[in-house]
Amino acid sequence: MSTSSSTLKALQTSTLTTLLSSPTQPWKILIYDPHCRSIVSPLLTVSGLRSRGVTLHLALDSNRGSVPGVEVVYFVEATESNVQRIISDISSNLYTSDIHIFFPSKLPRPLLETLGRGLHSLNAVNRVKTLQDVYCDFRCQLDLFDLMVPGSFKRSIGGSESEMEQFCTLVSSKLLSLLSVLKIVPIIRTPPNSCSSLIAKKTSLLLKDHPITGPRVPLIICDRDLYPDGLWWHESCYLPLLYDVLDGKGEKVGNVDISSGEFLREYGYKSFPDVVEGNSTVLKGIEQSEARLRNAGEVSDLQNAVDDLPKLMEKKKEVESHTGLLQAAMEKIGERQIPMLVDLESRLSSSSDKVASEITEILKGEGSREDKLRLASIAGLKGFSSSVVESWFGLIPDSTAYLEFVMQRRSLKMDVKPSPPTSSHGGDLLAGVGSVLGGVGAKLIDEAGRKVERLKGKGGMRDFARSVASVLEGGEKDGEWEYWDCKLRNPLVYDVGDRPGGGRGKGGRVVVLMVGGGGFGEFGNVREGLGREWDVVYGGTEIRTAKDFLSDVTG
Amino acid sequence: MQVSRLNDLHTFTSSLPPLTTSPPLPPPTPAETLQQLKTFHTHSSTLSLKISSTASKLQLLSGVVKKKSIFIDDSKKVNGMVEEIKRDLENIQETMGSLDETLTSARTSTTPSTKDHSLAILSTLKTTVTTTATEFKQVLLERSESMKESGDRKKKFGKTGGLAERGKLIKMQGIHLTPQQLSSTPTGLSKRGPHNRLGNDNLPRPVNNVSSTVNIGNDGVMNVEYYNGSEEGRHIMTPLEMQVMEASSEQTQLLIPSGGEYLQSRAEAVTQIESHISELGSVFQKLALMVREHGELVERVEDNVEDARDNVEGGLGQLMQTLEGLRNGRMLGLKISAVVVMFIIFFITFLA
Repeated sequence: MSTSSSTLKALQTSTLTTLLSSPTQPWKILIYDPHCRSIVSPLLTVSGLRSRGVTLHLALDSNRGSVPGVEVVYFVEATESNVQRIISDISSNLYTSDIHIFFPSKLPRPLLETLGRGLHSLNAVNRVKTLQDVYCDFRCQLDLFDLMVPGSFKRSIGGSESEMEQFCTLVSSKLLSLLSVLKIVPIIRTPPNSCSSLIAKKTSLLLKDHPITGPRVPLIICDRDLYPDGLWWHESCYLPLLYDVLDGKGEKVGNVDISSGEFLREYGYKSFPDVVEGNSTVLKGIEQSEARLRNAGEVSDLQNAVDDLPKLMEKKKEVESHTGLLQAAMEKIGERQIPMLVDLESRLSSSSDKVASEITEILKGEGSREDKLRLASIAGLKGFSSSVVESWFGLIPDSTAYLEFVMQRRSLKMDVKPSPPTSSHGGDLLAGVGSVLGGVGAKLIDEAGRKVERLKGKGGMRDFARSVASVLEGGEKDGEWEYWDCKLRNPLVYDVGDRPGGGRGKGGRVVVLMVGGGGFGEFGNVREGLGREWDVVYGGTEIRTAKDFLSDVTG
Repeated sequence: MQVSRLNDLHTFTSSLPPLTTSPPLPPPTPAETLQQLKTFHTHSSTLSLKISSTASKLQLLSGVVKKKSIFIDDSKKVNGMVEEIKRDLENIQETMGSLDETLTSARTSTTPSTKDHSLAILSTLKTTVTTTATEFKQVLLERSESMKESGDRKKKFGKTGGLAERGKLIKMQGIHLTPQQLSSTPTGLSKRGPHNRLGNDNLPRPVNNVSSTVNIGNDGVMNVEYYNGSEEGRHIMTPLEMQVMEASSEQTQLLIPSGGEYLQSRAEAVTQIESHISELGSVFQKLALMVREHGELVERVEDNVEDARDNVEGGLGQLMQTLEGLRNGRMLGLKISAVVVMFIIFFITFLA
């Protein structure tokens, strides 16, 4: 497992900190564009920026007043308009002191020349004290990384050859940022003849020009198109479920900021009933110690109380906000009958007539169109017969586009065969249900128990998680998938039969990039599927929810 | 991986032809503004230097305090350090006052951005001072704790004759001295009495202690003052100051008749320092809360922007609704007047 100092978030934060510590004065102004703001905002709060000496943080395109004599740090995307804006700032003499300019990715030569010409004409070249490509062009969203390539699913499956080329170049340059922040030399594995393998090729070439020193770590790049079901599954673990039912956006679910906190770290990917139980235990513990503090008689106790109480209250506040989220989520879960869907989806691999008829029942029922589409699409990609799948989509209004999508993927995926159900997780976790519900009097728990009992421990490993595990542990997929190693003399030669064993084996860090969009549920599934010994760094060209991806498919 | 492109830039710009015309002169910044900002920056940087030196002294002090031993008598050293830190904190207070003044006087002539910038600096410094002061408090607490412990040890191994009665006396005086403390913790002082019934050589001189508490009081005053940045803060804190003064005068009064009761008076001093410390504790807590609340106002970078966008969207929605309402109103008016006209025509044609 990773220590807290080597998590992606910590590493990216330290990158940003070095960037902010380049001015010589203790106080400085930070100016960013929306792109870079989204890189900074999950990592540094306003007080975080303050403690690093940033007094003002302003948007590049806003109407800024002049602050003479203060050093200014520009952190903007390398685009023509941004460069022009910087030049116009200098010409209107907004900031009279030194200027530091940072770009999150490589500043192309033509833009460098534009900047040079502009500065030269203003006789201000020497005022620019720093000009750097930082290579940190991705954002952290909770535990995931987001390469911020909008519309990546469409771009990864369609378009002309030059468009595809452009897309892969973009993704590989951002991937380079990720690798340089993580300080790892990847051993890339991709499914054969896919968009990912093109990205892998480009990344290997980039790594030749920009060598990174660090440990060798397996990097799995995969196309969303090969595992289109990944984002649609109904989830049983906490964080993905929250995002699904409460329409989480960025780091906020509703109005609650969930980007940090002990509780989430511990319970983020536990199954929902566990979280409910954990929530009430933690809350009770807090209340007990609070009561103890309030009844303290000794003066020394009182002094302790004065010190401890704010901390305790803060913790309580956090846990209570999660209680609120849990309750809100429970309502929705009951409404949308998610436990039933999760249960059914976990039995899909058997593709028996009984399951098929159950699916038909649900599709005929009350549920929302979105849930039905998700269920039908996932089931459609399994081993059911075409006529059954068609009849399912017939039950959902306006679903021809999805039917087409599913049928197309079915024909590509000729090797669909009913895989044995993986019950390694299901069984023993299910046994715990009784203990969760037994003996706890709290109303919350009872209610939760009734509603979400069936959520417990369902799911198991899905196709993508299985493939990842197979690649990492030398299974069947390990032989199939391509192998790119920039350390080899000729990185473009792959799959020569006698590959070195590096990157395989049990445990360690593994980076997973989903081209076309990743999601919390898939991350949770891969993480739980691989087990504790693997430290999974997961992300996508963008982060999409099930709803987003439904529109991606047809849009 | 950070790749500097400065060299590329310089190589490129040096290849450009030298400027034939001088660049358009940028609008000069008013010299006064610049001067004010400079003064502000000098002040703030000296201030942050002072704060950091105080913090390092504090670290030393806490190191000394943590080395508890009955064999080493370091009370003099500790007292000296406490004095020094107190002075430093006072000094910081003064500098902050002048900084505040600079800012107030500059407010009229500077741009809003410059003002924001300066305010941000000031609030950061305030936060740092508060943290430092809180640490100071904690060190003092630890100190009194260790004094108590060593007192207990001495009691265990030393003589114990007739001390219980003295303890009672001290207890009563302690209550008398700090009524506030008593009201907040009814049982606290009386329970603590026994620990303190015995004086020992490690205890600092009473007078010394009192003066230190007074200064801690000042320190608390200072923080509140800064925080509010106004006259009010001073007024809020005056009662505490007065109380501290009262306590100290009472202390001297008590000292005079009790000449022989040396041990007792020092035990009393410990009681006092403790009560003041815990009083201060609540003040600090308030301060820390205030600072934190301030931070929470603008917790996330993108929040304001998103809120603004939401507000604009909401406003647009309201406008659309109003427009719709107006349209409906107009339609209604038209209909009614049509009906009226119909009636008039009806009356004219059939009844006239």
